[in-house]
Formats: sequence, C-alpha cells, structure tokens
Amino acid sequence: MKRLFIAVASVLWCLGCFSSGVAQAAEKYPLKPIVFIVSTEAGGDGDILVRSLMERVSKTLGQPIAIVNKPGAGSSIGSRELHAAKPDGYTLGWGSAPLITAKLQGISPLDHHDFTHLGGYATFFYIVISSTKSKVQFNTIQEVIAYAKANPGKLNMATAGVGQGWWLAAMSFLGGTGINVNTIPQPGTAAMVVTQVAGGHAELGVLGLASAKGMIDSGQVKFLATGGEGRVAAPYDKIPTVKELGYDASFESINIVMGPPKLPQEIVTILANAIEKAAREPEFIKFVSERNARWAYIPPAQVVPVLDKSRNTLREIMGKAGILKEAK
Amino acid sequence: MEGLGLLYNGFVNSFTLVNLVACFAGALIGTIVGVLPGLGPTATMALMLPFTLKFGATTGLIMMTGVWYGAMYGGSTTSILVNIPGEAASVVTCLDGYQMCKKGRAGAALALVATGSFVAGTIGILGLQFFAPVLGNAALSFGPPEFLCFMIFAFVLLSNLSAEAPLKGALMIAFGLFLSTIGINPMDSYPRFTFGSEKLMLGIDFLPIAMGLFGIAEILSIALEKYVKPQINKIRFRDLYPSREEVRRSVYPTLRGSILGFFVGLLPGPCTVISTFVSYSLEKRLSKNPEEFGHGAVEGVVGPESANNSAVMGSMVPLLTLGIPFAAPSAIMLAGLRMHNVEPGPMLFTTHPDVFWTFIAAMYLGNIMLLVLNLPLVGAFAKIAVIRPQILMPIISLICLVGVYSVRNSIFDVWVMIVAGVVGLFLRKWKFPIAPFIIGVVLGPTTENSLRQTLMMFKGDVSLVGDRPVSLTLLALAAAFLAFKFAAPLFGKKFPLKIEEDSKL
Repeated sequence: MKRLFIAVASVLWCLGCFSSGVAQAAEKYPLKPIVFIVSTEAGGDGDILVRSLMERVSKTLGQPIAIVNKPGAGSSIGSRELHAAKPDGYTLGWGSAPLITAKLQGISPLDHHDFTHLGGYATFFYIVISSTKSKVQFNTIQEVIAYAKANPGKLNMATAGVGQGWWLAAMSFLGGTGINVNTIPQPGTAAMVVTQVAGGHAELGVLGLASAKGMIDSGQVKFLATGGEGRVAAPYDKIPTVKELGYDASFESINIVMGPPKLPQEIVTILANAIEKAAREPEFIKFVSERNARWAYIPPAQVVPVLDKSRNTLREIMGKAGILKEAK
Repeated sequence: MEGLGLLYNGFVNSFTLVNLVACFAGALIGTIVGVLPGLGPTATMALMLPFTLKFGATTGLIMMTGVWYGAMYGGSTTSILVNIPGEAASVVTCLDGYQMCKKGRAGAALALVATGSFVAGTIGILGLQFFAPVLGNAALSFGPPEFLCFMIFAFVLLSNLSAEAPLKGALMIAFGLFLSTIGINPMDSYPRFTFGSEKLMLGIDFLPIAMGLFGIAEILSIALEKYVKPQINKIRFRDLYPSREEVRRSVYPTLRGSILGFFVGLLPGPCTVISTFVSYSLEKRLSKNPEEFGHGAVEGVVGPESANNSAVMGSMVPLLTLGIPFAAPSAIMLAGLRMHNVEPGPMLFTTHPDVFWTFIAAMYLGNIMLLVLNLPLVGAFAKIAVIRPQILMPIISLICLVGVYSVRNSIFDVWVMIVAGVVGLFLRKWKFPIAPFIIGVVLGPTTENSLRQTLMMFKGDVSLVGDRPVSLTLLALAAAFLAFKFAAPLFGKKFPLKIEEDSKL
C-alpha cells in the first residue's frame, strides 16, 4: 500500500515538473541549447563563417548553440533533417546556393520556399586554380580557355561533389566560357579539390578562396581567375574576374540562416534580431572579409525574393550544363 | 637543428597553466569518451569546439587533439573487457583482446595496450616533429590512382584475416562492400538502395554495425548458453600485470604498429580504423603461430592499439602542413584553427610557427598524462571483467543502446545494432568470419570513390597507371603478397584450414 502511494505520488510529481516546464517555455525563448544543422563539412568556408556568426548570436540569446555538421548530397541531407525538425525554435540550420539547386537537379524535393527565413549574411564567390605539378601547366586563365577549346575533354578539373556549391560554380564557369573539360567530382567540398590540384592529379580546380589560400601563398597552386562580380582585395587584386574577360560566368552563393517551416512569429523575430545584431558587429564584418567572402546582410523578408532571382541565374547555368531536372 | 630550439620554446609555452589544464582535460574527456561505446571523438570535439574558442588557437588545438588521442587510449578498454568496441578504431582489439580477457589476462592486456599506446604516441609525435613538411608533400602526390592501388594492396594484405575460410571471408567482404554503398553517394549525390526511405539515405553507419556484431552478438550468445553457477574469480595480483613472456612478445608488434599507423594516418578517410586492420593483418602474417590469432594472441592486441594512436599523429601531418583535413576529427580541428584565423598549411611555419611547436610539446606532455591516467586504472577495470554475466550483460546492453543512439540521435541506428547483433549471432554459429565484413564496410566508400575518380582521370584507359611509379609499386607489392601466398605451400608452409570452435574471426 505504501509502495503504491509512493509510486502514484512520484508520477504526479513528475507530471507537475513537466507541465511547469511547458508553461515556462511559452514565456521566454530560448530556454535550452539550440541545435544548428550545417549541411556542409566542418572546416569548410561556409561552416567557418556560420560558426562565427552563431557564436555571437548565442551570446545575445544567452544559450549555447551546438553546431552539427551533416554534409552530403549537395547539402540536401542537412536540409531534409532541418525540414523535418519540430518548429519550436530549437533546431535551426544553414543554407546556401545548393539549397536552391537541389530541387532543380532532382536531388531533393525541397528548396528555399520550404523553410522559415531568418536572414542572410555573406556571399561567397569562387576562384579557378591551376596546378604547378601537372603535365600541362597554365599561367593565365586565357591560356586555359584557349587550350581547352583546342583540346576538348582533355583537361582534368577537380570539383566538389555533384550538387554542392563549388560544383555549381564549376558548372557556371564551364557553361559561361563554353569549354569542355573532364570534371572529376570529389567527395566533399573544397579540401579534396585543392589536394588534387596541388598534387598534380588535376590540372584545374574550382573552389573558394579561403580553402586554397595556403596553397596559393606557398606557390603550390596558381590563382588564375575569380568568379565573382568584382576582383578580390589585395594582394590578389591583379587576378581578373571571369566576367571582365567577357564571359557570362559569374556565380555567387548567398549564405543564410533558416529554420523549419511554420516557425512561430515571436521566435522568428527574436532570432532575426539576434542574427542581424551579430551580422552587423564590426568584428564579424572584418572576419568575413578575412575569410575572403563578401559581407551582405539580407533581412528575412527579402531572402526569398533574392534567392528567387538567384534561382533564375542558376537555372540558366544548369540548363547550359545539361543537368537541369526539375523535381516534381 | 634549430628545430630543437623551437621545440624548447614550445615546451616553455605549453607549460602555461591554461595549456596544461586544456591538455589534461582533453585527455581525460577523450578517455571517457573512448571507453563509452557509441560516443566518439568526432562528436565530442564538435561539441567542445565553441568552448575552446574562448582560448587561443593553440590551446584549442591541444585540447581537441587530447580528446582524439585519449579516445584512442580508452577505446580499447571495453573492447577487451566486454567485446564492445568503444569506438570504431577499437573494433579489431575485440578480436583478441576479449579472448585474453576470457583467459583471465584482462589486466595484462589493458596494461600492455596502455604502454603500447604511449610508445606509439611518442613515435608518432617524433614523426610529426621531424618529418611533417616532407611527408606533407608526399601525401599530396597520392592521387586517386595511388589510393586505389593502396586499397587493392590493403585488400590483399587483409585477405589473410580469413585464411581459414577464404570463400566465407570473400562473401563477407562482398556483403560489407554492398552495405557501404547504401545511401547517397558523396560524389554524385545519387541515392542508392534507399527505397525512398529518408533513414536509409543517410547510409548505414559503421559503429552500430560493429557494436551489434561484436557486443550484442556476444550478449545474445551468452544469454543462449546454459545457466552456469556464477564463479567468483579472485583476481590474483599476477593477473593484473603482464607476464614477462607477454611483454617480450609485445615489443616488436608495438614498434611495427606505431610506424605503420603513422603512415596510414597520412591517408584520407577513416585512417585510424584502417591502421588497426592493417596492423592486425601484418602481425598475423609475421607471427610464428598465426592460428593463435582470434584466441588471445597478445600481438593482435598491442599492434592495432599502437597503430591507432600513431595514426592520430599521422593524420595531423596533412592537417598542419597542407591545411587539408583527411579525417573527420581533423576537419573539426581545422574549423577551430580557422575560427582563430590561423590557417594551417604550408604557410603555418612562417605565419604561426609557435602553434606548431607548442602543439608538439603539449602532445608529449599529454602522452605522459594519459599513461599516468590509464595505468593505475587497469586494476579497477580488470575487476569489471569478473562481474557476473547476469549483472554485467544487462548493464552493457543498456550502455550500448544509449551509446549507439547518441551517435546520430537516430532510433534507426539502434535497430541496425540490434539486427546486426542477431545476424552476428548466426554468423558465429555458422562460422563466418566477421572481420572481413567490417573491412568491406570501412574500406568500401574510399575504394569506390578512388576507383571512379581514377577511371574518370584516365578516361577509361587503365594503362595510364603505368605513368605513376607509386601506383605501380603498390600493385607490385600486392602481386608479390598474392604470389607468396600461392607459392608458399610449395615451400612447406602450411596454412590452417579449419576454424576452431570458439574462434572469434
């Protein structure tokens, strides 16, 4: 009898604890740590920037933000998981260009319309590097294009995994310049690309500047061209952009923060404000340019229109590259 | 030898309170994480990353390497005591370590593993210190064809793990390779064998399979045994420490494992896991009594465990000298360094040499700390081995279930582990060797990616491999091993052809 009493009392007590917890949750978000899903590899360009941003956001919110890397399938693994998470504000995620193209490519049924947006903070551009160890070597990007046009399919170009941001950049470069090379996708993102080029196993590579910087500065690879809207800051300001040479091959990947669909408005407001505050911190702006990206804050309401515009450009790029396959 | 001067500076820097505490904390957390099945060093390091950002780049690097390193020390504990791999690189230790435990030599095994890990770590750090830049460049020259040839060589080398039943072993490798293809291919993002299920798209993780095949299968097979009145074995002092014979037999395997592990650590992918398999296979080939392997051969325990410790250091070479993370934990450390704007790579020695040398010095200290931490615990851990199965097995099951869930927060993984456990039970009954299956699962992705990339590079013309001396050398080695295997009976060396009753292979 006594045991029964203790059992019932403890059950009721537990229920009481839980319900008080629920009541509290409505009061002040966030009450516990937040999980942040990054759909690219640890140490990569997008990953580093978002870690820095989230560190500042977590200071504002007063709760730790645990970053979890779930790379794979052109970022669609991480996006799917974020989409399936409970919209209670305790699971958030990262997004970039592959988010838009995964649907266009048929890899994922989701795109940027399926998430709640909390703001964009930076843009990444790509660069083209060449090897100093391969049989055929190049000093300028014009040489590359000329050689590739004369010998279609002969050059090897290391790119990121199919569907990934730097792979899209490579497709944009190839489609814009109209050259035909042998693309060799690497598992993962930029790290393996620069390894292949530095080791002479591929003549060319397309990736982000941040990952290749060490190799460029030490002379292991040559920095031939940049694929953004404008030239890079010194000491690389002599390197031309592909665009200024007359090719329609500009590709930029906007990095955004997002949450599962149907996130409650109060939580969205709290998060969007915290993210804006963090993104506008002078130290963060400095960090972004140190990581060779372009700072660009985009408020949540404008994210979808901006990405839609980006999608049109990307659709063209993919059409030219022959990989357009709109998912149903 | 201005390196020595820099190293001295490194020691001075590492003796700051912050760095020492970071080193110890990392090592301690790593050991605990290694002991607990399921939670691995990568996840722990990822969780600790924000915490380390408060301190400098060097301190963060020291702490995180301490975790990875400590996990290699601690992972063997549960492998030896209860046949459950603490983490992926300790799977091979289960094979002979658990057999040693059943013979009452658990304490000896644990002690030898701790010392072996210390020696291996020291050799690894020495290698990193003196050869880092040279090895970094050498690692670059390893392209897809070289990896493919290395994989072929590895498969040939590892084929002797199932020498007693080659057909069954081949079947297991094939099955393992197949299992590794389930999921989304990392190169072309195409889903395979997923049947539209989101769970399967993530692929089948290796650790639940290993924990199931070894740990759960063991628990199930013990449960199926007839009830035996529990015997309270008194632990004799002799059992806690290795006999002279065991020590003598461990010297060369430890040294071989250390050097082998360091070089395997230079490769991309799950280098620590691969290093353990290669070491085990090598020891079995070189042993005068290969049939003892699978029944508690001490070489099969210390070799792999030394290998995985020096593989950690080997993996630091491409990270620090090239800025390229070849293994998942290295990627986390790369993230940490980049957050501090320290760019590892060829420029590290010019821009931030103090990071490198302080790190090396701290690793020497950490190695000593881990040895001091682990050796006294041997006695305590060895006592666990004699707890009655009636009590021990349920506790272990619980730890396994929770541990495997903690890896990816996925109930699917728990089911994978349980199913693998049941499958493992039958595999044992029908005398199928399990190690080749693990090899297939672990080496599958790297082999496939290398094969595809190689074919893409050569545009299908395989004869182009003739241009690459490293690939040719590896292929020649593989051919030599194969030739030896077939020619050896002509010279009178017999290979055992029967699997015995309780062989764990």
